[in-house]
Amino acid sequence: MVFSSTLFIFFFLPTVLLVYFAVPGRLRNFVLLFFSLIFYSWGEPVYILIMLFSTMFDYVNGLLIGRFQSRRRHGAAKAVLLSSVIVNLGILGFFKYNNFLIENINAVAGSGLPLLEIALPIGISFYTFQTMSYTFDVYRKEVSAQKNIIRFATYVTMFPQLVAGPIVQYKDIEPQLALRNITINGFTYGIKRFVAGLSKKVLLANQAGVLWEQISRSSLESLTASEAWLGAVAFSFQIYFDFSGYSDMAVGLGEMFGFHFKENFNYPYCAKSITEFWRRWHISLGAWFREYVYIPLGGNRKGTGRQLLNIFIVWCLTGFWHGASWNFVIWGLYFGVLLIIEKAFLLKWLSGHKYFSHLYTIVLVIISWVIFAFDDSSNVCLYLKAMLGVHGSGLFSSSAGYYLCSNAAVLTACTIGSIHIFKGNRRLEQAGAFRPAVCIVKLAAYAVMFLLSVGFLVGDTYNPFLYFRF
Amino acid sequence: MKKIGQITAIVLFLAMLYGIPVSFLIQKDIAFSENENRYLADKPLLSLENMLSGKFMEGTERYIDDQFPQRDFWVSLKSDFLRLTGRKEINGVYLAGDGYLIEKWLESEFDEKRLTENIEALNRFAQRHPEQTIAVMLVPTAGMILKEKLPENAPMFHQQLAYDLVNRKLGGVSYIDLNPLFAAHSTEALYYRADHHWTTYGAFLAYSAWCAANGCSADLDSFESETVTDEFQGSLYSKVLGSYCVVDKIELYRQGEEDAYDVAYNFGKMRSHTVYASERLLQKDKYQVFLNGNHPEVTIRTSQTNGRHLLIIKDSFANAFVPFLLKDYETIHLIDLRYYNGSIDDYMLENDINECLILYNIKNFCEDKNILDIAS
Repeated sequence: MVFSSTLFIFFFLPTVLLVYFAVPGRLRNFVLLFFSLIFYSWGEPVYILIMLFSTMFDYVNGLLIGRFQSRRRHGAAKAVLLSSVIVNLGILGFFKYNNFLIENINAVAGSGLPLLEIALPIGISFYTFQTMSYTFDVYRKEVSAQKNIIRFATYVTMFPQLVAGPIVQYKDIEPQLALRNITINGFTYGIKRFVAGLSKKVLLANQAGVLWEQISRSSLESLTASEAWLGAVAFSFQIYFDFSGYSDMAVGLGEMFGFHFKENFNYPYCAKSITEFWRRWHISLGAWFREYVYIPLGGNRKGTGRQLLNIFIVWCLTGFWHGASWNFVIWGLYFGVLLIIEKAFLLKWLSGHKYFSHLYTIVLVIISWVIFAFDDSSNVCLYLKAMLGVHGSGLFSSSAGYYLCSNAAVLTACTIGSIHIFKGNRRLEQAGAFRPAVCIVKLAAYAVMFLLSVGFLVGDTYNPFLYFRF
Repeated sequence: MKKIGQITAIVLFLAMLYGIPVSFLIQKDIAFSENENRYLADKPLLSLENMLSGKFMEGTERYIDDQFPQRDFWVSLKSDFLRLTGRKEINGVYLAGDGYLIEKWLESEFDEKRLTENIEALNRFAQRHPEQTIAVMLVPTAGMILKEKLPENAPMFHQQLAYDLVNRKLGGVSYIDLNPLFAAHSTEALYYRADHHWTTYGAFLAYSAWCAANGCSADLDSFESETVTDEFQGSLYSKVLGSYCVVDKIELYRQGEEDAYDVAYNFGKMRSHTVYASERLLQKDKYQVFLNGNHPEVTIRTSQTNGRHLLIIKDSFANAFVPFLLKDYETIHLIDLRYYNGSIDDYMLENDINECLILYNIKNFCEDKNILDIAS
């Protein structure tokens, strides 16, 4: 099930809210757990077993590690941690990377092993990372093991962040699993974030996606530079508003149930360097890799050579985490190299050139999305060539003009949505925040956004069939 | 004030969240959507088997989508909003000038190989029937004739390329070129504004070209036009919905006193005394007033006794054209290859066919793979 569907908004969510607020507080975790399991099993009923196994397995691991640690049997604790990591990565590897592995073995060895054709269990990349963060933290004694299985299962399966993050670390919401305060303030904020996220996904990301589809599906050999750039910009907007919209909805839903998740995005397209971009983009993933890979590997404490290796490993893995295909690895390494260059000298220079640093960052990010967008590296090359205008199709074409005109409003809205217009002007931001007129305008704006989103969702399912029926 | 605002927001949100499921409970399911021309999904069956296979879940989603309360309102809302933002196309249809809706046809959708195969199939058909005169008419689409009305720079397949291929490869038939005539009359109402078909006037122009090729003449003044409906919302209307769409009128051209004739559909399974099916005017797709829509086979027997027997192999564009031929032939036979499975040669033999007309809209002719059937 996805949030941006009529099924979720008008059937699942009202039911969960009704039951959640009807039962006494101590049953609420159970209600969340129950509905999360329904939410998850909706698309792939069988895969719920993997998630339940993962949950049980790390619940037991947590208890064992806790017990061994308290008895000072560090070796045993370490062994349990290791088995947890191996099994979690094993599950992730098997379900997410089996095809990739077989294809590459076949390519290298010339063998003809058949593909397994296993569908990827939804959200597996997210929840395996969440449970791993838990066993790590118990091992490092940052949290104590959770004895209440319902609470732990609620943490792992919680539907607001189950499918597309943010990757919530156990230590961040441990207290909230035991006690949550739901206020009118929080609930309203939750609605606001949910509607904003829904609108970002449906009104901006999907519409930018239409433009990207039109351009990327036309023949790449005859693409002009202006069309290629327009398409790449559209895809950059699509992926940002899709992903951050989803995170907004997750944060909003969390608030409705009394949880406070950390922010996952912070206007990444405003960044003035790639280093800054990654502090603003998919924050929970970056934090996870820093905390559980980069720092345990030694971070920057073991000399420059080792640091470079660590950065290299982290970005290889970050790329690979995004998908089982070489282009994602290349995409990760692309960023790894840029980050190393920035660390070496560029960052200092960029800080002195405000406008150039914006341009530099956004252009490199847009190029990275082109690498990200195509599974096939030859298409990436074709598309990048088109952007450079070295195809021979030229720079401009009339259809680029048409696409620009037809999508001017969407692209403008996306641009405005990508920058924090009130930022830096706190006076403007707070001016009259609670004046009646401002309240009414805001309320009306959210209402319109919500209605339009529903219209677009329903409109997407509208499927006229021109020809005669029998 | 802050509290009031927050409570209002919560109440509005919950009203929406619970209002929709409540309307689902109250409303009756709709079986068929006229706008979409398809049956809508029914409630899925709740069973363990359906649950495990995921059929129940898929069915539920389809059901909710299809039966969503006031569905057309929401679709129009999307359409209107997109238009407000400057979007020039919706659902593959261009919002062109003067209220015209024009189907988008991209260069990448044009399949040169298929068109070549279709032309060759026609050539083989003509070779096999040297006795009969075989004429071909390919109707240009509004996207070509009304190019001026398209949004600025809108990508559109240059249909002349398809016609060039036809001119180059088609042989052994008499090809009646409608393009110069249509181009000369492009300011007149040759096409419906919200349907992809030609108007009766457009069909009349084709008839006059046909007459010119056959050595007779067609006089517009000899026809009386009668508006049978002024609330036709055609196929392109259905694709776009929204307030941009206009309503068309449908005219029938009648020529004074008409001799009696007999129309038999599908080898006599249904009969009528007129080529117009006025009951179709009560439905959504009112273009079906012409020859009752598309049928695999139709035979029209007129009171002429001139020994001319015409077979038209056709798509729906021919339906508005056929009424003009009633005085010219003893029998007129229509075959729609999309729905007809029999042998064309046998059919021609059995019905003493001595003239053939292949009448398609150019887009259908480029895309329809059933045309290959006439070669075999």
